[in-house]
Amino acid sequence: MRPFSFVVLRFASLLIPRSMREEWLAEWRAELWYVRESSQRSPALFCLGAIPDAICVWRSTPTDIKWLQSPGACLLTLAAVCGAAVLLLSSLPGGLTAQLPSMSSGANGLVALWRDGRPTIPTDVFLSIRNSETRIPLSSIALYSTATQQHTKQMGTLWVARTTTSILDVLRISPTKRAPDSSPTILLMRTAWEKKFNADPGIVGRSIDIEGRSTRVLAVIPDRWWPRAAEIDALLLDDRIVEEESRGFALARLDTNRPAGRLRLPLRLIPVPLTDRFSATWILFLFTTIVVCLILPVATTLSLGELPNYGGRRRAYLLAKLALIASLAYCGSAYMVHLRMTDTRSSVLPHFQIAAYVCALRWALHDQRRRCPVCLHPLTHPIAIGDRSRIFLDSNITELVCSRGHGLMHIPETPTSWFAVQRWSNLDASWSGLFTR
Amino acid sequence: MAGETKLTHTAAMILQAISAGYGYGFSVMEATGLPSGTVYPAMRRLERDELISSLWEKQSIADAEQRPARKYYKITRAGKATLEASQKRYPLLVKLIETGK
Repeated sequence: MRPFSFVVLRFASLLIPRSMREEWLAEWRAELWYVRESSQRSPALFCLGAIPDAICVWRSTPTDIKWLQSPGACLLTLAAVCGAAVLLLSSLPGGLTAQLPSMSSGANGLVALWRDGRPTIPTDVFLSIRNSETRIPLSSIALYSTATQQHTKQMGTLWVARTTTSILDVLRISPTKRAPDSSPTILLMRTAWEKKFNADPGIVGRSIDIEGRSTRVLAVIPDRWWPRAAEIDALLLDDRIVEEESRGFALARLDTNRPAGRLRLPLRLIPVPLTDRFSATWILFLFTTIVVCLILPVATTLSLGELPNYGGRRRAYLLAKLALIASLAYCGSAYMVHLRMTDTRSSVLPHFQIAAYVCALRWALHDQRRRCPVCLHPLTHPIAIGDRSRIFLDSNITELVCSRGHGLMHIPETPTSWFAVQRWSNLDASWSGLFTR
Repeated sequence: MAGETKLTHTAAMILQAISAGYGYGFSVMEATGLPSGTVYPAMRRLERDELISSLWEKQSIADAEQRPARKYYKITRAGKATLEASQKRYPLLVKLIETGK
């Protein structure tokens, strides 16, 4: 059996109760053999028919696989999917830790040094800090200048700021390709790389001509790592800045292992308000959620106002489902941010994420609607009630019953002024004789 | 009771094909021109409603012909009654499906 057919049949067979699975598989495999022999139909297309068939068998199976629909199994399945998503995230390089929120904005350790209320410090202060002559607990510090416009042969003008080579330690950048000679090196900002170099994947290690000097690109760094990215296209690594400039902007990384001494005013350490991965993920997640909330009323005919009705247990179940789906969406957002930050571009995945998010919420709402408020098990035996000619040629009400005998649910298929939200009728113990477990 | 079962046109076509001698899923697909995703679920439902019944052929027969054993379907008495009712409802049904082997 070819891999595609094998995978489709195996996947579909998971829906079949274990007692019937072998026979179901045997029938499909036998039929597939004849399809191949006839060579008039595509075996792959033929195999796809196994999925609706498996769903049909699953739906008509009385009890042994319906445990999946119990509230506990439903939540456990969702939780398992969430766990798998977290595992997937943790397998990405720096994935999971990058998505976890920092305890404070300073916890990422990057600080800008200000003096006398200005964002620059004198070079001698920079040198004294770098030479550990102060009690400021910093592991590394870099100085950079204001960006100046510089001409390149290939890409017109670039805004280039000079910085000390210690910037690599401050930003914790490990260049994959170091310059083999003593030619100047630069770090390119991501936006500049995308706009001016057309996101050329082979840019790292290549030399570009800046003001007539061959300059090697050491790395492309995300803009979010840089507090003043809007004004800078590239950072030129040049330690002579310390000798040639009297003042400069200082960026440093705090040493969390050293106790913080009392700073002598007027020097101030200002946590750099970086948009780190956590913030980016959080913003994307919120944006996606808002978009999905706007789409959802169109994507479902349900009256959302009825959902909180009928008991705290049912409400808690709904909240648990929504929380798990939101967690999944958060993992999806984190994955999108990871793709964005690792140079992978995809215009399909964000749309897919939104579509999946809408579908998941739609499922949660529809599932909620057909749950018994007492035992939370699915209501069964739907009966259409109403005059078809009165409400757009469709029955207006669907009545469902709890197979455990707790009551009847009346659901308006088209909300009307006289029947807008679902109604629950409790059945007392006197009805129990009609129901068997 | 079974005679009162109302079938959709697709289900009636499949029942007609089985009645005409197309005894397994793939031959029903060939006779009706319907895809596998329609034929097999419909046959499950027909079997569930006891309008058709299924039987695996003997392994020895299949082995002798060096092919896998297949599951054959045949129409039941209740199925015949339902099919007659469906033929009145869909008069062209008999013409759509030629008699099989």
